[in-house]
Amino acid sequence: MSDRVVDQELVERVQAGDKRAFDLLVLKYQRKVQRLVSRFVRDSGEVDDVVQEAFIKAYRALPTFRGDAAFYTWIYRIAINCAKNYLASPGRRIVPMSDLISDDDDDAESFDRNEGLHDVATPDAEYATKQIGETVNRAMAALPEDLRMAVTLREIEGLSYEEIAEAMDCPIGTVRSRIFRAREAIATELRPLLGTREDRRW
Amino acid sequence: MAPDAATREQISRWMDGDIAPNEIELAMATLSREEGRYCWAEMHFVGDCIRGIEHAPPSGCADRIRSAIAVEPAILAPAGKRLRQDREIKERGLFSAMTSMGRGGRAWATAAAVAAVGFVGTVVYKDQVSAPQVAVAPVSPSVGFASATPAANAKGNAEFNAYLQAHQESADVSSLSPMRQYLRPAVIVQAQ
Repeated sequence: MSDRVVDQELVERVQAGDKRAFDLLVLKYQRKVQRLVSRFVRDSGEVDDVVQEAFIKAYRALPTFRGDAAFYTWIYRIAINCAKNYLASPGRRIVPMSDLISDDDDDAESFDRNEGLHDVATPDAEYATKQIGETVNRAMAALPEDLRMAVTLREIEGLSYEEIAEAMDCPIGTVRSRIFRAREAIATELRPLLGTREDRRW
Repeated sequence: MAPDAATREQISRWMDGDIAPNEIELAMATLSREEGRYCWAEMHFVGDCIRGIEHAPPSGCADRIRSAIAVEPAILAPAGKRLRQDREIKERGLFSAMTSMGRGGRAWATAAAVAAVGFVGTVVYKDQVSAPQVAVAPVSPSVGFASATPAANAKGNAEFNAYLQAHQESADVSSLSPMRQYLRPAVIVQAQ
């Protein structure tokens, strides 16, 4: 089962009335959508408002989602439209579209070239972001070679478990274990930076 | 209570799509609990950090969205179930899909299959019996329906006759023979 099929399974659950499945989709895609919207909207609070509106619109439109396209391309398109509508609303400063992305460019992964275009984070937020980045890099560097390679092939190269097993010449069960242990090691390092579990909000 | 290591490992591979069809219900049950949701969110956060998508601390946006969705009416779209069944038919074949329909569904499917076979058999049998008596009407420059002779319909009939004539000239008549008895009769009217 591919990543896309997992999304489709969650979508069908939502279409059958299971709101918790939609929450899992939100948790999975909220950061990608946030990053996409932040290319259009400056203020981080306003970014969250637009992201929330995009997900709510997606939820309401989900009965019409047929799964012909991947869920993430669908939600990206909705988010872009919400951001554009937000910018066009009365009292909002219009950012020249030449500063933004083309209409055809609805993949959040392709927005790296605009990195920093609208970054107006507070010093505290910038510090926290820097800390998290450094912690992740340090944790990755501290991983045993086989764990680092397995999680890199999965998270960055996007290989399936079968492909990773073939590339690393090991059983698929070993791949599962290595990727999990790598994620756990990084999560363990990150937890102190994210606050206690009770006060942590996603 | 935080999920144990085995459950966390399951969630780790589920989020990568490494899940068997018979595990889906278990996965959804686990992820619907608060600790499962937390683990899912944390694992995706780690993944996004590794990919460099996000290094900022979580903003609570997902929690806000969840609160907003909580007051929305639940979706009850039959399309989801139908789409899933369509996919099952494609993936597992018609027979496997029929077995998942339940007793009522199988009964309907069987009845439909029997009716289809009976229909085709009847058509072929009747065609064989009556074949010698059927003759293809000769094509003439002007054709029309026997019951469509009022003057008010003359213009429409003329246009339709032209179409029908062209169709008869180009159509493979032999392929239509089993269905001939169900076709609207095209009675040839000789031009005056």
